[in-house]
Amino acid sequence: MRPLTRYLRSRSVPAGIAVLLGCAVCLWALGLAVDNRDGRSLLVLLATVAGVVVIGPGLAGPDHDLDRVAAIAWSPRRALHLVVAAAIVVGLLGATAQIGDPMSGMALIARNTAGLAGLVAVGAVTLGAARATLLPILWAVLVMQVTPPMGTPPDRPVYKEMLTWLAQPIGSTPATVTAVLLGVVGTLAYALFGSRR
Amino acid sequence: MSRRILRIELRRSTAVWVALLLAATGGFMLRALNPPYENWMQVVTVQRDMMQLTWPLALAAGAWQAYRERRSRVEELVGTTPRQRWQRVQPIAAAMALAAAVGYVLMLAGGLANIKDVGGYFSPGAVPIIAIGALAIVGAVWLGLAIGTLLPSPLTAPLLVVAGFAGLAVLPQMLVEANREPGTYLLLPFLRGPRDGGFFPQVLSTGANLSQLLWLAAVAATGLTLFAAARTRTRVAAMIPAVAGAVAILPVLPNQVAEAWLPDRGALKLICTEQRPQVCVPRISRHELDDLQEPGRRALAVLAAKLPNPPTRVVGTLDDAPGRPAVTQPADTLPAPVGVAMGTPGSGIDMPVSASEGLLWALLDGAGTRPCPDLEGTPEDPNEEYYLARRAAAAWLIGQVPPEEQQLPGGQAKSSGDGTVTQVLDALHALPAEEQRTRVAAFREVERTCAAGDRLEILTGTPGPG
Repeated sequence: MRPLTRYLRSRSVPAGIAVLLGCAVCLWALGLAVDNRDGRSLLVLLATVAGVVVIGPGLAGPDHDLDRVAAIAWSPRRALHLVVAAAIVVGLLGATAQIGDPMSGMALIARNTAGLAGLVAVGAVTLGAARATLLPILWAVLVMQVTPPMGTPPDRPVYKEMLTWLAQPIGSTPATVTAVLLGVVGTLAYALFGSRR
Repeated sequence: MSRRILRIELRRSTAVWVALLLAATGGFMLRALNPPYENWMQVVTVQRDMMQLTWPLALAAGAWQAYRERRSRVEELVGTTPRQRWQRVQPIAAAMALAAAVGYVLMLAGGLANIKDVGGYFSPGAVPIIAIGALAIVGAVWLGLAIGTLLPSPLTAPLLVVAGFAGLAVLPQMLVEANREPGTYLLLPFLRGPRDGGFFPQVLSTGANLSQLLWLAAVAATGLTLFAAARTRTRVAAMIPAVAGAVAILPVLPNQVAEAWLPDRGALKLICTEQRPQVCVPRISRHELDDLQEPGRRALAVLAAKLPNPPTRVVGTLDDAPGRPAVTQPADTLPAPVGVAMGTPGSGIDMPVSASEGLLWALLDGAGTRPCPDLEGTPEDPNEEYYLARRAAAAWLIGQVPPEEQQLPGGQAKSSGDGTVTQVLDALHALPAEEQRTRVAAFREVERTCAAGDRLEILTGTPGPG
């Protein structure tokens, strides 16, 4: 048990969990205050972005070289770290969104978390764990203008639908494909290369 | 603080990146996510409205920058230098403010590429809107620096974006219905355009501009002091500017944001052609003058040939705010729709014909008059019969069935129940030629003065089906 505890502490997981719980509480409180349907699902989307952002800094340890020279097979562990973190985000925020009048479907939260987590992982590989959150944040901000109730997401052509995957309804195949693609590419890249120093 | 240190700080901080980020994201949103803008005022107002997104980004940029020393693990080292904190932070605060302001102004390049008439009328009211926006974004960066200093964590910056966005873009919209924003919304960094008046040219009142200036300057001062403060007591004192600013301007805010928007008289000054008959448009729609000339003169010729006492010049008229009073239109002027009214139902330009042909139909709609506001009905329930009569008058003048009905076999109604223009036209053509002329002339008279009366009855002698 000691190695696992130390690993979790080195990746500042306790602090991350605390922030994530804070996000869930905020989402729950806002869900009580807002009764507009589109507004509620937009709040869930924002909470998902916040939840995934929390994963970012934990994708690298405090000492890059120490990790690198250790005789530990990091690849499967890194993949596991990312998948478990994303699952916790989905579980916690999904459960919060279902309290009372459901704010958003579980499938939508899972799709968005998968894509965003992949994006954070890509960010960690290319920019380093500390800057990893830049990619999901920027993408989310640019898409916000076409998210209901602020706007309407485009339904064609396919490339626009893929670019606005975060804003698309759950039935959109291009959006699902994009999210899965981002998730898979991010997980593979992070598992293979790890965070940039 | 010497210029040399500022230059080093500009190179070594994220300042340049922040300017690029703001300019690129904002410019992209101005360029790609909006339809082409009619005029300059619209661009700068949309840019201010977009601060729901750019303001949290600037806040996060500040927080990110404030985390630099902790990230590089030189916090304690820097803390031991024999200089006061407020002196030490001046260069970075100046560099970030410069970057944010430059990024905000550069953002306009995206709007510049997306405006219909770049050389057109530049309202003097646009200058304070840009300047106050730049001030707001500088305040955001300073406030972000302060928050990043108080909460040094890699999560502060991204979570500030999410929280700022939820607080600025989502919640204000959820809590208050559109167009009824209370005056306190002027305290928010973003600015809603005059939704009520559509695209009627408006400027923000001097009072509203001054209150925003005062408030946002107070917020920026609070952010800077909070960032520069080293002791808790100073940090508490840093709240004074913001509180004092709020107390000073709260009593003078208007009841509703909409009240702070005033008509822009300068935008309505007419620009006319030298050539007779004259065709004029308001200064703000200068780019539409060329397209209006040919159909405008054709419409004047048609009216002169078919009706007594015809108008002698065409004047472009903007769609004004709903609820405008019914006024008598001058007999010597043929009003032409300009501005964004194109393509809306009832303007008659949403047809499968060339722009010039469509404009001719729009010009002669209602025998060359503007619709009377009290007869139009509401956007949800338009007075179809009224529009039918106006359209039939145009069809009689042009001598054709309107293009949207030409393909229909035997004048089949596209919306049954209200009849078609073809039916009204047939009823009109059944009368003697001289009476047709008298009736259309009478129709023009009542439309011009917005007098009461069943328009279909005036036109054909038989009242409408409804």
